[in-house]
Amino acid sequence: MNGVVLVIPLGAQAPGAEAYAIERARDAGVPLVVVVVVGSELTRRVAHTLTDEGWVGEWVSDGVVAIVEREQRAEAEAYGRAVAARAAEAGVAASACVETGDPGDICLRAVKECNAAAAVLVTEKPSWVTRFLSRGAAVRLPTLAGCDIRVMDD
Amino acid sequence: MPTPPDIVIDTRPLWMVLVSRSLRPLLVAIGIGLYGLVLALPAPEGLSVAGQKALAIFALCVFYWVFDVLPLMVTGVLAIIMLPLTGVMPATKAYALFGNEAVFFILGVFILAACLMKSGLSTRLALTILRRFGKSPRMLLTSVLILNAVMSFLMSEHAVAAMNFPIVLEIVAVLGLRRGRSNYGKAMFLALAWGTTIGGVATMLGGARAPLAIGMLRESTGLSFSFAEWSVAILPLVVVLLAICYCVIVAFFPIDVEDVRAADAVLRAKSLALGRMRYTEGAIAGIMLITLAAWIVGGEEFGLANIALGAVVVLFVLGLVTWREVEGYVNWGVLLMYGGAISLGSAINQSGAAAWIAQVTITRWATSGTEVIAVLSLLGIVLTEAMSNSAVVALLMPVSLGIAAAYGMDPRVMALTIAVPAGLGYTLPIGTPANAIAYSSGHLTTRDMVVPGILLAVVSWITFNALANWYWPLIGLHITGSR
Repeated sequence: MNGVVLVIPLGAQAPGAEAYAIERARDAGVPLVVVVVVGSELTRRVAHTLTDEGWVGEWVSDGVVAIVEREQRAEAEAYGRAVAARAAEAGVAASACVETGDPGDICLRAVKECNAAAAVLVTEKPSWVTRFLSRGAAVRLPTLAGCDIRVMDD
Repeated sequence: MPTPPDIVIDTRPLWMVLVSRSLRPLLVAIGIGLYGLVLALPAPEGLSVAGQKALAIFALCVFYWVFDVLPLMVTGVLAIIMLPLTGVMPATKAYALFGNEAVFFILGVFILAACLMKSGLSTRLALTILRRFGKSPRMLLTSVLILNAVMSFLMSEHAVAAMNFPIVLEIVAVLGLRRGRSNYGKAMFLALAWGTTIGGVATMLGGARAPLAIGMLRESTGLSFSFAEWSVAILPLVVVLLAICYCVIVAFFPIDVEDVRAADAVLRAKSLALGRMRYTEGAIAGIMLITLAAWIVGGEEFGLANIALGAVVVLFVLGLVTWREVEGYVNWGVLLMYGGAISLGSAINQSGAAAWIAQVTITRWATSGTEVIAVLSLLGIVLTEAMSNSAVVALLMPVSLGIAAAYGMDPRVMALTIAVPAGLGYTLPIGTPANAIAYSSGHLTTRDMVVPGILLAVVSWITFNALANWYWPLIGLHITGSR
């Protein structure tokens, strides 16, 4: 087993999950892999609003989306580096990367790639509407034999 | 041998999977059902057979526009093809309405705005103004608000927001304002979004709402507005709203920075990168000024669309722009949407359906012109938060013309009452393109926009109605009328 994976969506504040992941990695003596996830929903909706309601041309819309993506990625990289630095202060070797997509899918892929023993998946705290609609399951719970995946709210 | 892709198992409850996959077909079916229902009902008193058919098409298209079942322009096309198919209007007439002057005016304005953006002239203007006036935090914020508003007098408000977004983003970054924590960061992006929103209603160039409303007005009544008449009627509202908007922004997000000199360095660097003003920019600026003067002075004599398209031809004659560049900056779907909306509006009016809708709806709630304006403007402001502003105009304008006839009101008042409030969407983050751009900066939360946005919307509604009652009569627009 090669590490502990911490998956955090951009914008989520999860000091508890972060501390737990660092502690797990330190106890197991393995490195921490921090994956900051950038969602594509915001840029998709911005592009839709600009072209379908604002009637702006393709180049204008693409320009705005590219700027938003670049900003999100820069913010995610900075956040990943900050978490990795805090892990290093706690004596845990850590690396950070940025991925785009569904946090659950990315968590599964990262666990497989790192052959991880444990993973912590941070989810945004669901509203009562989300909890009602999904009957309490606000996130698609990833399951994988041989890996302890813990889902924590931000 | 290639590795097979991972199998993704959807672990949501079955009913949720079924609903999410069948929602769109369900909405399509509901729209068709609504159409069938309106047709199948016994013909109401006072409504002709053609009127009932037009009403059914109207119900179908409004449903699709509100729930975004199809892209807006495709629903516009649907309206065009259904009018001749159902016998409401001959095909030659339905398709001829695509050639409405308003549609070509919108096209010309969009191409002119594309040239302004492509040449870098609009960016240069923005940088110059921000550098000249943005010396203190308060002045910089005011400059962003007013700059976006004034630029939206001349080109599409959405294009202005998209164009100035990177400039504001860089200013905020160089000032070191933290996302979601800095009041000044929030204030700057709200000034960007709301400045363009308020400025966009001032002239016929800020968005396609005004030309659409005027196109429908002319098609149904033969009446119209000149370029100057529209602006004179709305400019006082814009000035008052900009002042109120500034107060609302700083009241909710008190300025928490003391020095913005770092922003000047960024603006200077960007100005230097643009270099000296080129021949292309100067020529486009000259053509724009002449075009603007022609709209104001000779708009009625020569036609707004003729002047706009004439300017476009001159741009090509002088080699200032290529067709490929124009294609990338202009969304051609707008022609289908607006052509369809004008055809549908015309059918609703000529078939008598608009008058019938007016009779069974608003005449039960409002007894005077003042009340009609209050109800319609409120509807416009509320609806535009939930649906496209062009769809709001397409929905309310035909009905409002029926209402004007029922109350003996000046139909031109209705064009203002529908087109202006339909442009004032402040509240929802993804409700309007300008709001979506500001929200995507990451500096604003939904709450940051909703709470002050509601306050601004209420103030806008009150101010608009005050203007309609006390200012418009002074310039010859009378809302008086009663049942």
